[in-house]
Amino acid sequence: MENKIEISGLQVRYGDKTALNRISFDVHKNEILGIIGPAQSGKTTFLKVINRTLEFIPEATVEGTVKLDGVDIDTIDDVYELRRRIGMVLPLPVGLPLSIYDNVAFAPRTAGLRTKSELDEIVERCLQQAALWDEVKDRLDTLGTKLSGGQQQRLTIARALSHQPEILCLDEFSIAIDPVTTMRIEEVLKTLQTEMTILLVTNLVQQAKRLATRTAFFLNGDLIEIDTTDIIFSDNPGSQATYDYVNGTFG
Amino acid sequence: MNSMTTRAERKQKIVLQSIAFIILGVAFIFLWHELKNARATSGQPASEAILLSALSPLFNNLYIVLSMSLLAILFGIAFAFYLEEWLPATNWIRRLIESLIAILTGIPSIAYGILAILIFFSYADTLKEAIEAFPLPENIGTIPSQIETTVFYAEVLTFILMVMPLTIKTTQEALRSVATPIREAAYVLGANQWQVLTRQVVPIAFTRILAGGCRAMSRAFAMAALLIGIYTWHYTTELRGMSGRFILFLTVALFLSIFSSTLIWVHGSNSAQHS
Ligand SMILES: Nc1ncnc2c1ncn2[C@@H]1O[C@H](COP(=O)(O)OP(=O)(O)O)[C@@H](O)[C@H]1O
Ligand SMILES: [Mg+2]
Repeated sequence: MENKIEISGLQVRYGDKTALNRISFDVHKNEILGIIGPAQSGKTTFLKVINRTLEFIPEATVEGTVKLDGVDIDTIDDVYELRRRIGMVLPLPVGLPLSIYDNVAFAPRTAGLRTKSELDEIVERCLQQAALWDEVKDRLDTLGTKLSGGQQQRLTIARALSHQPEILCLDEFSIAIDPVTTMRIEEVLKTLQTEMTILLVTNLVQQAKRLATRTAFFLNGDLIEIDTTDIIFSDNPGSQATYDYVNGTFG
Repeated sequence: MNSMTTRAERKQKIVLQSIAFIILGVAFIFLWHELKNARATSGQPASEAILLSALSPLFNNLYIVLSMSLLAILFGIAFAFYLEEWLPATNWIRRLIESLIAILTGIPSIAYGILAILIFFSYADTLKEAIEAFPLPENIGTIPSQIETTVFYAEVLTFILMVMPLTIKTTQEALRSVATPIREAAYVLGANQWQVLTRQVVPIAFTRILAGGCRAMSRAFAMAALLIGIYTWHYTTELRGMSGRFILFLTVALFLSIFSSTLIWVHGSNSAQHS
């Protein structure tokens, strides 16, 4: 099993508040890694470390190493290049003040792509992958923010795919969308798994159970355990806390 | 926005405003004194014709002052970008400038108006002497440049003191209204700071920045109107020609103010629709 990401001794603090407490684990290539845990347990913080957007928070400090394909991400000079290798879907869909087409073409354009035919191709492919193409193909030039919440979230997924990322991170992507749309996106994720590694942070443990190859349980900045989804959701996972959280008897 | 301020921020605001009012009060007493003196010494309106003609350089100045205000607004916008987007919030220069701005914007604009009038009145004598030194009306255009320059700089400074902090403040607020998650949406796609600014932040904040600029310009026009109004009121009985300008300036000020409010209103209902 090839490792896509290797995390060792990762510690993140906001001022003197510890958000991640020396966690170490590997993410395998082409797996869907489910990350579950109650609010405030450091899941979002972890994703921010991966694409180095944690650097926007002045009081945040990071110790330990995160390696992507064996390369320490701190040693990568071009952070924009690093971010283009990682697709990120945030909890709430945030529209760029642009048309649907320009939303999806944003990342390729910032990377310097100008050819219209290539952009057309990328836009269509990504909207297809995000299960949005059929609904918007006739109005690609309308504002992305005019779409419904579920459509906007799929637009952000299309956007995240537009730079052909090696890793796709989703942070509680279904928080603002209806169950039907959620199911459609889940189908999309299953097919995407063949092309990329997926980190699925979710507040719905059943979503991790449905999709994830392996699942990690975060609690108050600690990695309680990481194992195959079958074991995490079985009657005897490695830790009692995991069992309680997964079965809703937590706290 | 107001409802989002924390208790500490409200406290700070109250303190700043009280300081501003104390300064204002002291300044007013001082100005009142000066004004009385100014009127006492120039009490004899020797020749109305000359004084009327003396207005023309003032108006020439006013147009320059207004274009300077426009420049100050543009510069203020640029400066706000620098403060908000490039300097970290903890930077001491930024904090110093922001507290200065808080004090300056806390002063009601009428205070600036009084300041401008004071400056004008205290130079009115010199101006009059200068005019009397050149009895021929056609020489009025060539008032010794030294005097004109002093008044001019003083006026420009007043206008800049009034419009720039306001512009910086409204622009900063507009930029701040583009919250971190909205910026992040562009950053996670691999955009650099410049791209995030030009393609994400500015398009969103543009209306509010424009509205802030219009409001500042409106203030400048209102003050210019005040200056004309008070000057002509004191020195002439022939108001016809002058009041036309007074009303023009006031109308422009009013129009800009309404335009600014409309922008904010339209912008508000638009963004409510979008989210
Ligand atoms: N910008 C921040 N500044 C200070 N503390 C933060 C910030 N973001 C997150 N935290 C803290 O870090 C901890 C982990 O937060 P987060 O990573 O958002 O958890 P989760 O995504 O699991 O809810 C929490 O205690 C939270 O309060
Ligand atoms: Mg979170």
